[in-house]
Amino acid sequence: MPRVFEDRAKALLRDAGVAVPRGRSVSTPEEAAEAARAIGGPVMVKALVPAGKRGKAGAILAAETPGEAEDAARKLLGRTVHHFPVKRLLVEERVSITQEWYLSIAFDSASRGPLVMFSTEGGVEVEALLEENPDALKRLEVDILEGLSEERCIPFLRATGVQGEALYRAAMALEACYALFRRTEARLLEVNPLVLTDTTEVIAAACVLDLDADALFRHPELEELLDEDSGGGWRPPTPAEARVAEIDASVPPYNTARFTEIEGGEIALMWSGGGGGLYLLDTMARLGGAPATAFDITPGPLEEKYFEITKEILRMPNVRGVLAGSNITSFSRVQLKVRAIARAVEETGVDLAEFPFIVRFAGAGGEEAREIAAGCPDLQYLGDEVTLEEAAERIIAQVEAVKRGESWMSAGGVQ
Amino acid sequence: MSILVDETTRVVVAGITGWQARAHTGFMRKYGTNVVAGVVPGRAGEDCDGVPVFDSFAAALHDHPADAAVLFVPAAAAAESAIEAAGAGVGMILVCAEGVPQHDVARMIAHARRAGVRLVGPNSQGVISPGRAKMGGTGGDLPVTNLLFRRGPVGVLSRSGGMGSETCWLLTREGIGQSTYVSVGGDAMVGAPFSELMPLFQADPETKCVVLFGEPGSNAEEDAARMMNDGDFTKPVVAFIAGMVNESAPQGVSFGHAAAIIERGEGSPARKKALLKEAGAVVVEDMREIPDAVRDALGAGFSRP
Repeated sequence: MPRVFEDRAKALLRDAGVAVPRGRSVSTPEEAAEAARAIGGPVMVKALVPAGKRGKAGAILAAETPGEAEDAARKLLGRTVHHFPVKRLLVEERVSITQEWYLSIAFDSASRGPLVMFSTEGGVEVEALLEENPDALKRLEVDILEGLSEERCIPFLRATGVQGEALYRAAMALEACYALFRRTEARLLEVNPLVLTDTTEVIAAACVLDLDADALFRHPELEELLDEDSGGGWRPPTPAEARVAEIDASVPPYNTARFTEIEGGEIALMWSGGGGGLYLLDTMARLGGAPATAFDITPGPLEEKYFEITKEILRMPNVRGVLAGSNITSFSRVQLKVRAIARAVEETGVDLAEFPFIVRFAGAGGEEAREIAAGCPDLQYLGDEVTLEEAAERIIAQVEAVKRGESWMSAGGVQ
Repeated sequence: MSILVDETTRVVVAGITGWQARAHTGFMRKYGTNVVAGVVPGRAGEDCDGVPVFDSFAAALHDHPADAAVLFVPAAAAAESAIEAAGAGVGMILVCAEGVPQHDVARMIAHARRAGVRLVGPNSQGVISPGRAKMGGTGGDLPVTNLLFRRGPVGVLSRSGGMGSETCWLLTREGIGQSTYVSVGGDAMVGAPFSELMPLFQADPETKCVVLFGEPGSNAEEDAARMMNDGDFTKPVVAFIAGMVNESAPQGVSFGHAAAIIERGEGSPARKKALLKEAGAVVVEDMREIPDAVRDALGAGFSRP
């Protein structure tokens, strides 16, 4: 899920009518001092990284003066927070807090529509909130065809314990947040904390906005807000992941490959179909194999994309063998993928006598695929005579044999 | 009997003139599906391999009453097509597109619910009642369809299209057939999760046992377990849940489908397995164990046909 950095998400919130702290994003200590001076008074200096739990990680620092803001910026810039390098900071006014609330809007797979969650005990991680006082977290299911009006927001918020003038302002904020969630086609909008100030203002002090990669084609203005670290991963992409992402974005059909490098792995998995890819990872784990990649690609005629990605995988230095394939396919012309593999092997010059490479494809195009595989020396082709588990068992045994200095053919290879 | 589709189901195909849709429509008809019309805006009056094409569902249904619609339209157009179909009065809609924006998914589900229409998908590979009829892409042409599926007593529901077919194949190659297989769709939100389809299998006399292929995320398996605990589903259940590997992955890592995102401790494969076991399901760790588990569930009364 592409994540919009906090400064940009707050600009969207402000435009939607939700008050946010006055702030400025900076990328040098000097700019941080200047921003603090312009804001006036005490500020917060926050590392802009697409990860949660920044407070605990020491990535949010308080500063009383421009000088302190500059020092804080010096400490944060260039640091790594939850695997992400800190390249930019958000310097913003420190708001006076009377109450801290939690607000999120996301889709709920049970009601299959938008779900608002709100608690007057915000300011802590939602996990802590659920653990310590789950009853304080109230839920409001929204009928997406009706939307969310003030008339529903007010009774809902009143029931959570919000009162008086704050109730009206909180309802306005919730209504505006919902409108932003819908307009941006977001997967998640979380405001934590939503702050009630000592002057009864309601301010979004921190927020997370996750977009829907499948809806971005309708929102070029939002796509511009993303950068290379906004991909939604738990860490920035590795060089191989970045190259595969580039291939995925430049070779049609776009946005069809999912690729994750697994540290310490040695068997690359190349699968078609998400469920099968997941099952294969499970199977490898159960059998004691060490997958080097979690890669799955939408079933379909994707020869060029498959060719480019296979080359990337064959060039990964830690990979000692490959298992590629899919479920028994109905329609996806597996011969195209086998041809892509044969071409990639030839172009990279990998000697499959030393490097076990098993493909397990069956179904539409299977016979032609088997013939293509036969033309690629030492490429092992398995069809529906074996199950996925048997194919996994074989590649693990073969890689072990190669590591012992033996031929993989001694470990149940087929030619 | 079977659920959702059989040889009497009259089917309208949206997007029928696309190359993939056209091919699948051909496979569906060869298999015995009664395709009565196609819908492609701007192509009214055309004939697509003998199937009349209309501009809209309303026009198609005016001339050719139908029970179900299968949508082979691209992800970006899926919501509008589904909403139109729901309003036109078909009883069931199958959405095949993968990558439908989540706000669109919520909209189409809400429209279908209001219209009282069953929506399967999105991101569904299809529905097949072996030996009778099928909708969508599952099985492809006859040789593969007949390799994967055969008629019999097992209802199969899967959140993964590919693994659902693989599950059926594991059964078929051991002589155990299926009443109906439904690829419910790989997204977190789908129109018909397990708990909406299990009552149909409960009511279907041919179905003696149900196999579930689950994945991390959503509460599809949890709801299935609840239904079993509440006595609303009483036939034997064999389940396999993929994604144990996610349990050990760092937070925020997701392999597989969009639905396979573990959030806030809910939807984890370990929890799903535990709940299903408690509810009386046989949960297998290796898919190859599915046929034996099903044979046990079917009991002595079941012999290889």
